[in-house]
Amino acid sequence: MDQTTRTLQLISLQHELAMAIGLDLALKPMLRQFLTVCMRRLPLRAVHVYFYHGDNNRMQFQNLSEKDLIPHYLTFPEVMKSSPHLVPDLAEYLNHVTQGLKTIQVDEKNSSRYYHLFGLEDLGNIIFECNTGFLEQSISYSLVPVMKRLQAGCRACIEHEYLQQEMHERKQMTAALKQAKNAALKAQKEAEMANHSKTRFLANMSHELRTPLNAIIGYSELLQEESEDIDAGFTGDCKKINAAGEYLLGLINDILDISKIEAGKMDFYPEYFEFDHLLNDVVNVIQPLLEKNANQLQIDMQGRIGQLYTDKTKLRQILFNLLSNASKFTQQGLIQLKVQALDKPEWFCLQVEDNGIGMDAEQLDKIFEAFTQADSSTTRNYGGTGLGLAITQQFVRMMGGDIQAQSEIGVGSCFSIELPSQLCLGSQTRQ
Amino acid sequence: MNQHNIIKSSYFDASGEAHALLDNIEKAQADGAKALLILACDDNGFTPELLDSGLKNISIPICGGIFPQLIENKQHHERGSLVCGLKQAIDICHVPLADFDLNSHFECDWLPQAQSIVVLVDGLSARIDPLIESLYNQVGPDVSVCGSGAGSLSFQQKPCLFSNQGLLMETAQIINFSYTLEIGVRHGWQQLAGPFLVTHAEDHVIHSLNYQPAYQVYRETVEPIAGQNFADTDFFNIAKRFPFGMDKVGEELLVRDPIRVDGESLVCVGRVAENAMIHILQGEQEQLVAAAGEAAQKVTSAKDNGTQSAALVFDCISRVLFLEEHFHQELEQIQQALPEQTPILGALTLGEIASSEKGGIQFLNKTTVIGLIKQ
Repeated sequence: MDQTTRTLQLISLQHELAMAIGLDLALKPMLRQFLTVCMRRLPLRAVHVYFYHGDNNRMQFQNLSEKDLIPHYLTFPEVMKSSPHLVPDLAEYLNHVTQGLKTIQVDEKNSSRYYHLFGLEDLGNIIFECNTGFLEQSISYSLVPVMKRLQAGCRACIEHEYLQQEMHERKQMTAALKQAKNAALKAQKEAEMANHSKTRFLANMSHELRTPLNAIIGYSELLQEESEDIDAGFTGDCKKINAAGEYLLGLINDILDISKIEAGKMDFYPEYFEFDHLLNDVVNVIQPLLEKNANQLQIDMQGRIGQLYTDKTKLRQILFNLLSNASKFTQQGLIQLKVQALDKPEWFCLQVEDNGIGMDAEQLDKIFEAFTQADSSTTRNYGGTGLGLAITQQFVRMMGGDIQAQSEIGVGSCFSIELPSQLCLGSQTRQ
Repeated sequence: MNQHNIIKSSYFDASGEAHALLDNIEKAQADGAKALLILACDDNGFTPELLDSGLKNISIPICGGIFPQLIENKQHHERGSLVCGLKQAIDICHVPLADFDLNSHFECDWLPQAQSIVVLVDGLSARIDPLIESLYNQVGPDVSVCGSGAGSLSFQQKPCLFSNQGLLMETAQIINFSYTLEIGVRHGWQQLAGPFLVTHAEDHVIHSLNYQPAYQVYRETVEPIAGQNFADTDFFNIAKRFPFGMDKVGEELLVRDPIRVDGESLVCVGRVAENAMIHILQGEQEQLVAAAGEAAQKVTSAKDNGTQSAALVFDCISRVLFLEEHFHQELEQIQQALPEQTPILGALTLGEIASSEKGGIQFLNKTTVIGLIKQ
């Protein structure tokens, strides 16, 4: 064979082997195709591929010093898997041939085996096993650049498989997140539905309770008047029935209010009115409560509020709640109501301060939560449902204002609300 | 009837009639055969309708095929059938080839213990190369393998393998041959032109060479040398003299026979790998005959001292077409190289199969494969 033919043969071999690299993005099929061409073009018994610290799912690039394992990755034919283990100290060779080529002859009883070890740097090695002698040197050395290309092809496959794995995991995670989100949304929807059911139930029940209660209160008043007229001697009993009825009605009204707020059904009806008139009404209503605990009310007007355009009923309830609370938790004390027109136009402030029992910081944190009083003993000692301040806060916020509370045990409490003079429906809490 | 230490009895029928074949099968069974090897000629016109019911009634294992011609000692027959009753039972595994590819795997429980294997395939299947790669993957280099492609020289695919299920098509028959087989392989074809880069190929079809339509390149190269035009001559009549050859380091070129044109593509017997360098080959009568003799010498010179019993010869039909009246010289060369009185049985085939001396199993064209059976 002349030199030109020889060179052509080598180029043809390199070309075909090089073109067999990278035909698949998965490592094993890619290697399998390459090995098949090797077997077809070269006089080989078998080809063995070793990779370090790898498995099918995730190949780890390792430092050479960590190469204490040599997993057998791929052999063609498969039946020859154990063959290179016959070579003494093969592991040692594999550790040292990280690039280029090493040839090893192993003599057995009746035959010899010839191995060409090609290094794939930190990936591993490829071993060509020959039956009848080494490959010619010109051929084996012409394969070194092909193996470099194979090494790059393997890296691309490994990276691809790694990315595929990551994408798969991410996809699974996204699916899990989506599932969790759907579950949360479902739970939220169920909770909302349950809440709506509760609210509807409470609203219905409140209505059903109020109708007979109105009768009890009305008739107990009539009975009380008749008893006084004829001096029947059960006036006191009638008063008790009436007071209990009134208490129960207040409680039901509160429940109805909180239910409406939670259901988003609380409506506001703004109107023009003079603040002074509303204040007089409230003071008149609160008077019996003040007297009951021998408290004094001091009103401090700082500037004139004048005419407001807001929901009069709600504002009255807010003021009444704050003053009645102050009266309830103060004995023989002073309750101050400070009314102030704020520097900022169209806003005013109401401040109710008492020198009653006061609250600690923990109790203060919870006072605007529904059905919460400072502690359970408060309900026993002072009565009430714990809805008043929750309703007050919601009303204030829905009217576009805000409420703040300060308190100290044994010193007293102070509630301040700031509200706009002109109610703008849909307004937010003032920042 | 001939007696033999491996073959219990053998019956040749020159008429090529189906009933004669079935009669001979009955005789071989009556002689106490444990398995049957049947070789028949395509010219007999055997079809499943003629044979399947008879084959399905046979209780001992059957293998074999229908080939363009069959070989019996120094004779080759264009018509007839040969029934060999074997003294030992054989294991046979049938592999459907229709969807067989490089990633396919077939299960055969006796394969790991096999010592030598005969493979008969539908020679017009496009899946022969993946099959033999899969076979090598399972048996490795220490098992001797020889065999061939069965079928018709009309290149029309039809049922061509004998089995207990009847005649089979698009199938491979893997036979566990529990004797030692020495394999000899030679073809004698020489480089004429090239190399050409196979720039586009799929399985056994070459679409382009050197980025030009394959047929155009082939035509432009071969016509001036052949002194004939493809336009006015049957393609295979010219092409049978100018096959392709693919390089394999340290071994004879692997021959691929272009059998027909499909548009501007060339259809070959056996896969042609994309990116391979191929040559156009030519043959000389003396070299081809000598090569067949070398294949026979190779098997007789093997170190194994077992008793030589018979020779299986799978010789490509295109060698007959090329050598024509001189083909008898090839069979004589083979017989002369083999020990005296060694019976020869085999076929003139569509592709040959043999394990390579240096590793791997190859699907070959235009080649002589000899498997010398030893006990």
